[in-house]
Amino acid sequence: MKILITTHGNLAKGIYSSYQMLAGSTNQIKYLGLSPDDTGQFKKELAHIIDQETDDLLILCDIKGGSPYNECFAKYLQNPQKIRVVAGLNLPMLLEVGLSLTSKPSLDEITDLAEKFGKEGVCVAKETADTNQDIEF
Amino acid sequence: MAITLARVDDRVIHGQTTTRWSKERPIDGFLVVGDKIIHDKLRTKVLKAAAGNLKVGIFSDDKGPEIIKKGVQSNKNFFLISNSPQTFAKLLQNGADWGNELNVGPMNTREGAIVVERTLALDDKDYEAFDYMYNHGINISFQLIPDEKKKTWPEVKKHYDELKAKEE
Repeated sequence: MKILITTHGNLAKGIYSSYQMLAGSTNQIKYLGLSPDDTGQFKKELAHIIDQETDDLLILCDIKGGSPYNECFAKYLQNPQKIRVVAGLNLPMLLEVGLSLTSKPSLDEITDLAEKFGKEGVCVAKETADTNQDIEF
Repeated sequence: MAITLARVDDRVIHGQTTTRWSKERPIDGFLVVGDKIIHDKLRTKVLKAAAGNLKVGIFSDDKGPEIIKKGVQSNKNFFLISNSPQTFAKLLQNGADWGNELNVGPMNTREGAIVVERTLALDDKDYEAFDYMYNHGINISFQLIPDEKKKTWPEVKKHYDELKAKEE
């Protein structure tokens, strides 16, 4: 299993560096950013990464309907057995799927994790009422 | 033993602990010891929120040995965390027994502290505390997250001594 992060600009590289800070390095996560000056390199590099990849591939994209997503979605349609695409990339999502790699999830399992933790990662900060010593032994 | 991680960490409870160490070792709750932390109401609230679904107990230095004993004897698993090695040294001195491992995470720069490693600033009192624990059989490993290579106290100590000699 491999994970590929694709985004507009440097978000892909940046979010991977945030991931590394919390979870450490792994060669199972790759990233690819679409440059504002792109004249077809993104598409070529994406094709290159997918052609070379023998494992299953989970692709995390920044936004549904954006160019990185659209290119990846096309790849998914061509090869739905080996590729899944999830849009709405955030750090909780990436952390969860990245750290799940050691337990060798199936492509469907890891896709579900991405969706679940990506959604749960969005929340409003709230003060908790209880500040007492509520620990139990 | 039900203290599954004992850690010195300036930020006490944060991403590296909640997302990474908690995947590596079993945990049901955090036992935080430190007089400075317990008296900071705002910080207490932030720490409890940072722990998410896990319970947090924050205790004074004096209460530490008793709490550690309870934690060790419990069926539940706890991470024992303090923001200073000086607290751990004091706990050890007062008879606390959390096992013989001590992990060290980030320690921020302060007045009088020397930056020894990328995320590690120590002052003379921290140095004495680590030395005391090391000499009492505690294995000290400097390691932010489990994937990172460990550094031992003798390695860090040597570096501190070299930097200190340069300074003088």
